[in-house]
Amino acid sequence: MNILYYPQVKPKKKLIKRIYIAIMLWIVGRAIQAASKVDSDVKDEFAKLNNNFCLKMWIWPNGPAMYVGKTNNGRVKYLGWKDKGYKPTLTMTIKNIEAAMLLFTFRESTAIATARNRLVVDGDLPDACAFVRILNIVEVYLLPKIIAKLAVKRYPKWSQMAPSRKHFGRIVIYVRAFTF
Amino acid sequence: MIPYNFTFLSHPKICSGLKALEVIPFELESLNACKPLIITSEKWSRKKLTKTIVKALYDSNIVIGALFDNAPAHPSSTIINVLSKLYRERSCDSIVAVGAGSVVNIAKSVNMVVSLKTDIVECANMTLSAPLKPFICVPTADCEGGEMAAMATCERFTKKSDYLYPDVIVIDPRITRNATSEEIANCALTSLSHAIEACGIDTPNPINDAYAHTALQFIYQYLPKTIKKPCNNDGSVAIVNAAACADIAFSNAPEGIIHSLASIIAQDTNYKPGTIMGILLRTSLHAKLATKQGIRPELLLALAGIDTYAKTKENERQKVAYDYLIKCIATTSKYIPSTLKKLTISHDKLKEYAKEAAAKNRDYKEKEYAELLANAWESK
Repeated sequence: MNILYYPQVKPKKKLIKRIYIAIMLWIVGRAIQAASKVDSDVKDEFAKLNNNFCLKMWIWPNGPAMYVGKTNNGRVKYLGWKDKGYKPTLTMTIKNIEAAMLLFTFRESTAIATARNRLVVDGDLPDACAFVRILNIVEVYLLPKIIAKLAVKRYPKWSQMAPSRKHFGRIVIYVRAFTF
Repeated sequence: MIPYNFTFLSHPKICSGLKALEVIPFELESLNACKPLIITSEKWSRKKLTKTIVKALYDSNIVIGALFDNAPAHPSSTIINVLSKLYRERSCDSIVAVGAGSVVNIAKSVNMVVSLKTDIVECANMTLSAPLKPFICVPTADCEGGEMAAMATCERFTKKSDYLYPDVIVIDPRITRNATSEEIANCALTSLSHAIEACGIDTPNPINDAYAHTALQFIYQYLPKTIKKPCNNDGSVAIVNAAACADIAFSNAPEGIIHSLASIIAQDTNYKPGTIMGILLRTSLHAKLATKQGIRPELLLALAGIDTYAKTKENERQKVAYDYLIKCIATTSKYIPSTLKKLTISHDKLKEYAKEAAAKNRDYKEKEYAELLANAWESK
């Protein structure tokens, strides 16, 4: 038996999926920054976090990644996708690009993805829970109801988020996320 | 107070469900490996499972040392030596087996050879005292029993050791849904036999019972619809999960009468062990019911659920559990004959099988083996 017949294989890259995830992380990161100024719930959640809070959300093993952190004056900032020597206090690692696709194409909610062991969290658990709640609120603002229902654990009722607040917030968040 | 003295070991991590294959790179890295040798058979390669596996490893730092897709139906020392050479020449550091039966046995044997740095003949006589190289098992739904257990079979020897468990078991519907109805029936009957034998022993082990009962529950719930439609994602995944649970339970229990006989007959006749086990199980259950030993009332709880268990009178639970099991076995009747006679096994050989089994597993007497075989040959 000629063993040379069985070659060494170097798996390829999933470039299109990586680009899609990178764009989604950029949009979500910018939207979190915008929502922290617009929505009172997001503001409250961030207020409870330490001032050195820095989140790294990335796809194992080669990215893409998203860094969100709090500045010294307590403002929330999207820090970009490149590691510029940040010291994340909370790292959320998605185990592979396919798991990230399930999450960011809203076929699986964050809660379900966590339950199915697709995420590895390194950091304080209360911080991670707070961030998941923030992510849920941001998704409610960014996505139409029919899609957001799939992405969040419980879609907020009228009493929790009035349509006027939701639509106004959505416009402001979109404008802020894509402009400055 | 814990009511029993028992020991239990389940080493493998089970990753099951949608996109489960994609966790292989992450799991390999957590086992400090990055260059696996992938072993599969031509049958699965023709069904493009190798392509699926390679695609699942995209976008990772893993390099496949070699993709061997020509594993024979019976593990021989020649193929094990060739694969060990391939493993060493390509500087691989782990093994991934995609398939069942011989593929997994070959992979385990290669792992022993490369970890102990010896040859397979010497491996048979050595005691494993340290963990082997990382080994990931990706089972298909044609399991023959023992793939995910702490044992390996090669040519004429069977080796048992806690280190022979796979490190990770990956059960993905893209892999499991490719089996035929007959293969599903064989896999289910093997798991059923192992689970029943594991939880029917005199000294109960509560953790082992939990595994065995889970296997029984999966099989009872999913076997009928999976036999009708083997490409059903949920069904095929459930059957393979049952096989994994049954194999772990089997590893933590003494070898049963059915397994001992079936492995000898299967080796001699080349029939699948599941076929033989299905026939023997029916007869064995009947005998167990008559003596009221080996079928515990809790089996009914696992099979039928709390409502039926609570509704059934205490002294009838074993009989009802037996009925459920027979009903479950009957769903495979299209593929599995009811007697050894219909399988064209010669009556003259039964004595020989009983003698061989008694020499191999001394927990039972030759008379008991012979009695079971005689009853199974012509259904009584």
